[in-house]
Amino acid sequence: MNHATPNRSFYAAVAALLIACFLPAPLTNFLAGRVGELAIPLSAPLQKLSRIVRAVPDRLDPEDPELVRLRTENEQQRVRIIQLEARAAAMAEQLERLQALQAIDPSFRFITASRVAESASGKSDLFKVNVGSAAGVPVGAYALYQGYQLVGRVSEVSPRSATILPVTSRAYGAVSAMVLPAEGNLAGAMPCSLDPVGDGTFSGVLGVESPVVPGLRVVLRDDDWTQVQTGPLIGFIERVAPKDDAPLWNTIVVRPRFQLTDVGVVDLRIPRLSRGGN
Amino acid sequence: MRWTIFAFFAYVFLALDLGLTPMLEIGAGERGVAPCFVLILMVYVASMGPSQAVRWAALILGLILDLSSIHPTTAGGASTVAGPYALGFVLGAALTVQLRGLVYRRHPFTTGFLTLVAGACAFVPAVFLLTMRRIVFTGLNSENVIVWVASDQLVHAFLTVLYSAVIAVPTGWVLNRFAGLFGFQVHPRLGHPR
Repeated sequence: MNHATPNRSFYAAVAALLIACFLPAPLTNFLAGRVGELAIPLSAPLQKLSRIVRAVPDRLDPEDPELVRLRTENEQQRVRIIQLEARAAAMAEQLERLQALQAIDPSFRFITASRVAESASGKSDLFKVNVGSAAGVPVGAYALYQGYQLVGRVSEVSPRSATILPVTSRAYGAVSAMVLPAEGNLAGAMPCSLDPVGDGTFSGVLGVESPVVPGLRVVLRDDDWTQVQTGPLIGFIERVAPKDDAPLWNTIVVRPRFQLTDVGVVDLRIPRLSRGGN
Repeated sequence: MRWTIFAFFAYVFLALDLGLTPMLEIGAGERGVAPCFVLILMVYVASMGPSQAVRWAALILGLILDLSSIHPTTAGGASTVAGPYALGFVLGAALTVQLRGLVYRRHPFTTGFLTLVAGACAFVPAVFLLTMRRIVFTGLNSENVIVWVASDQLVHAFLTVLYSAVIAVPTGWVLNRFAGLFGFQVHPRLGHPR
């Protein structure tokens, strides 16, 4: 066995450490911090590795209440994310639609409005939407569904809401329309006047020489839509029949693409100059 | 003994102590027990190195352990105490030097066994010194009083030494591969230093 005698410096070091055991903490804390920092470059990756290894699922008790709570929370968050994704997708689609509409007709802007109230009497087709003159909605603005189906016009406006009169309401009156030929070009369009029947359809008359058949598109004819090629869709011809008392005329029945009484969201078409409720 | 190699291993073993605890810890929180790699290195060096160098090596390793240990204080702060483990390691190394002639040093289990014995010898004085410090500072009504219950710490130290002894078996085997790098000259048959 090798028993070398410790030298004086070693004894001095031991004595110093013995004293250091009873020194106030601030004197040694500084040195401790430096030692810890020195080890970080190697200890940090090891820590990371340790935590990865420690997180192996089979080490966890599946019945652990904390784990069960976290799993439930995780599931709720996932559902919420899915809902948000669906909402974001719907909003993106809506945004694209609005952008497309504005690209077609730059003199107008579109505001999406949600249906918030029905007519209190229950006998009217009128409904309220959640934007009004504060957002620049004027009386007479067109309301569209899906960007192309005519729903109606704004009949009354307040700062925070607007009342829509559906085009299918008899109160709307006669609608100036055009029946587009099968090719869809305006050159062969046949003007006509449609009257709301009250059951969600329109009726109109056209000369027997007009080549109308069920399925043709009927669009709005309005000088207000000067910038666009065709007005918004009113509907499709559902039926064509000879007029009883006038053999040179045919009666047509037009049905909108959507059931307008069920529409929940509309796009209001507002002139660009109309802003701030003025 | 080559001090640069020693310094490198000291650094690596300190990082193992600081980094692998989350993975190797048994139990959690204050009751968690993890092996002490620095202790294993001290025992290995003490079992193989020249006595004079071993004393300094043990003191340095103990001081490293001291400076990387943080004790909570009763005032809600943290405190580092230099000395307890350094002095404990010196005692543990001295015991190892006494015992190493009785064992076959290159056997992997030797490092485990010596870690158990020398670890107990090192940790008990360290717990004693820290307990004394707590008593002294409590008497001085200082804010540097560490949160320290001697009985709990002794149990914890024993479990740490036990766990370290188990880990010391594979670690000792690995360290034996580097005996030449350390500059330890070992008898080829007996495993004793020349």
